[in-house]
Amino acid sequence: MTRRFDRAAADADSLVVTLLFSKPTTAGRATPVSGPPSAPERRLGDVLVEQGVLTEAQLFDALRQHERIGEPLGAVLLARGLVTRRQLYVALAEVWGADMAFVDPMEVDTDLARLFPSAMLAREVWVPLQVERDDDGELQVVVATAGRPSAHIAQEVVDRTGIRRVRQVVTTDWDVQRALRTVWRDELVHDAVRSLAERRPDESASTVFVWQQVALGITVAAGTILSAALWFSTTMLVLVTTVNVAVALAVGTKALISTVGTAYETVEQVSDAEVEALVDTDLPRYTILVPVYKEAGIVGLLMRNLAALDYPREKLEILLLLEEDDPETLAAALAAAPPDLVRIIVVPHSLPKTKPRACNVGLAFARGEFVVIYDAEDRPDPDQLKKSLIAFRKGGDDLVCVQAALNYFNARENLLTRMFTLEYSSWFDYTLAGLDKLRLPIPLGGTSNHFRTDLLRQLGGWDPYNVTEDADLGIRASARGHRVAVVNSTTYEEANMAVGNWIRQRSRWIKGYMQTVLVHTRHPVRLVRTVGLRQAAGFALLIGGTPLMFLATPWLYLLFLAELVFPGVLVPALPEWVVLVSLANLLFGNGVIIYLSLLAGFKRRSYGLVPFALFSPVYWLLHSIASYKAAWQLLTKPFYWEKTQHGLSAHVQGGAPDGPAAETQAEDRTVQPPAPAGAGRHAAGDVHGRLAWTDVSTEVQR
Amino acid sequence: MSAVLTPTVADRLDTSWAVRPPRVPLRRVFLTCGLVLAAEVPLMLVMGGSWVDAMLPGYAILMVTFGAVFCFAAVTVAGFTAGAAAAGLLLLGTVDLLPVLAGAAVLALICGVAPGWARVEAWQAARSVALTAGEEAAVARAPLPVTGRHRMNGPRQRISWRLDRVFAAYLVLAFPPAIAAFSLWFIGWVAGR
Repeated sequence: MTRRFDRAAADADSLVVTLLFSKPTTAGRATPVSGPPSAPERRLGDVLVEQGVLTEAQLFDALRQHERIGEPLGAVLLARGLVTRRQLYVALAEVWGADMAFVDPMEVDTDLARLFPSAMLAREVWVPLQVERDDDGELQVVVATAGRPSAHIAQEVVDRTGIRRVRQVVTTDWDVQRALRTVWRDELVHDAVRSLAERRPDESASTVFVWQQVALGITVAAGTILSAALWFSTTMLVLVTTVNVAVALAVGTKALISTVGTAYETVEQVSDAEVEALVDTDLPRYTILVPVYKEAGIVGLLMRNLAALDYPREKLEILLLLEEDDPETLAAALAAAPPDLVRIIVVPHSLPKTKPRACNVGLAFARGEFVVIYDAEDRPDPDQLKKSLIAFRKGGDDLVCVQAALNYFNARENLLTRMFTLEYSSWFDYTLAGLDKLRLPIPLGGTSNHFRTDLLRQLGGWDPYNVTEDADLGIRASARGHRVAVVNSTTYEEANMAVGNWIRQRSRWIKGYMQTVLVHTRHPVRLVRTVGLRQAAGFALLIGGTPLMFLATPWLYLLFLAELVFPGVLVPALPEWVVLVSLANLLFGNGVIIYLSLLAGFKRRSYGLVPFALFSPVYWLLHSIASYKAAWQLLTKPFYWEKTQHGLSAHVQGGAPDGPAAETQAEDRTVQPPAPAGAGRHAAGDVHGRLAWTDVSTEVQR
Repeated sequence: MSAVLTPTVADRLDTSWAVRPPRVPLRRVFLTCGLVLAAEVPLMLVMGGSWVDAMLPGYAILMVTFGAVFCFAAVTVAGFTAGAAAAGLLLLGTVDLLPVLAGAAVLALICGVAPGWARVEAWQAARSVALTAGEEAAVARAPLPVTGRHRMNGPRQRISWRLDRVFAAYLVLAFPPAIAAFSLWFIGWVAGR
């Protein structure tokens, strides 16, 4: 069948950002109210062919793809690797009749920059550069934009500076983002770290304990000591009963929720037929955030895993979030020669140095309608983005997040990885499914959570002070009337295989649960009013009960051992029925966790793992060790991020590529190519010199 | 994705025979059992039976029904219900542990050959399955694709007898009565010392 292509339409929206701006300007010069273009606009494809960058055949194929998926021609060309970014933008500058510029962040007037918020600039992909005088001696502001020069930008500049003349030059989106990261560095960091704490301090873990919680803690501790001194036996009875009730409630809640979750075994939230029915043109842009720190060894593997995703490349944006003090990972990322859809964002150094802080920076640059987080070693099911998208469409407007299941590709590596896998199988297949079914708040897992970008921004992003920012965000979303759901898709990642590493990771998670409980119980009545009594109880018992259960378990074991070795030794201090109830509680709790692990392993057809479920009690004692470490850190280092070392598994060794292709692209990323003819640093041949904003601001105000 | 898969992985793509997920009307099974129990228990009580007499057939019905669903319809949660019913029988004090464990062993053996399980395994593997270490390494070494649609297919599952499945099924079925029996014995032992 012969298909017709509307090349004019394809060229008209050559990049996504250009869709924002409709009014063309003349030769990149804009006044607040632009006049009509002086000459008909050339087409991007024609320009690229004329420049010898593209052949007619390549253009034809690209246009066909453009029509098939509904993405701008420029995005198609970039995704296919047919043009470099610079070639594309040079051609776009010609199409738009503007000068091309390569922006050096050092040349941005920082005083001028302060007049513009970084969030707006990141969203609209342009930056103000400097003030200069034009041929008439009039002041004008030079702006670099990665989109079509527009009256909107000009108006924004006029509103913020008072200067009526605006010269818009074209630059690449990478140049804009580099300038933003450099010049607006402090603002970006401030927004990423303090935004939630300033906008909604009640929802931020930046304050660990509020005074009411401190007062309550001191009162309970003092009361316990005092009553133990006065009435030892009664105090012991109350303490043991409290421990028993806490464990019984926490285990009972988990058992109940998981039992409800077992109903999901034969339910597919999203079917294959629904995935097949998706049309590429209807797919939105998707941003993938990958925070990486000190994980140089697995960056290459990450690229391969994400490349397997079944989603149009033109609609994908992968933001690799690296830390400023981690040059090894940056070098590895460059050496991995990622395709053009991958953008490397170096997150400026600041404290607290946490993953949510990096994610918040990434969120500022995200341009997708949906955003998802993956860890560096993750291998999501290829159809996960599509399934999540369908889940969002079926879930309604209040659905803010869809959580995919996690599983481990190195499950059989050692005993710890086996236990980890069984635990997660139970958590994702039964507990989260049960929470979803019961409409209880869902604590998100650290990876493979998909968000509506706008709602995520409204929620304030992640709390950088909370070390399980994901769990906190799930609860915060529920508290603000949004929903979190699960989807039947799996991401494979690396199970922690070293005990020390595991305890570090788990102590962070448990500390984060404690932080989350402390944050969301500051106003218990308000919490109940907002989310409802059932949801508040579910939250308290699951998120609050989990650390409590881990903390209490060793004491139950002590009772058990004391009664076993010295029969009757506890009876003088405790009634016999309390001792028996404690033993029954211990047995019941262990029975439940063993059986849930056993069922979950069987459900995932990991038959070889099922017998290892019998080791669950030992595995849970490790949790108790981690929970005491967590409790200690909550008091001493509440925001300290216990880094989990990834890449230990034999499965992820040696993933970094080498060879000429990698070297070539790495060079391309680090070395600036010579500027094409007619394009230069702001191509400012007709201006009379750069002026500092501080010098001209008084003149402007007059 | 097939472009980057090694022949070893690509060879495992034959899952077309199991493209449909297993569908069991569990709700209907639960409802039917519930109705039967709702009729049976009051009837036995009215006829002068004790609670133990009334509950005994109920647990037996649940165990047999859900044991059958577990074996032939390949639904894990049915094994949970069957195991819990077996534990209930034990707690009534009318059945010993050994016959219950023997019954669980028989059901587990049936699970080993039941085609439903092979089908559900293949169905699941076609959607999502971890690669082996060797396959992961092969994927890591393969060149990076940047265009086109990619699909990951799972491995073909063995459809024959699986000893690991038998043992795992036995644990699912036998654990509840075993832990119930142990708890009764242990609490009694502690109290009697």
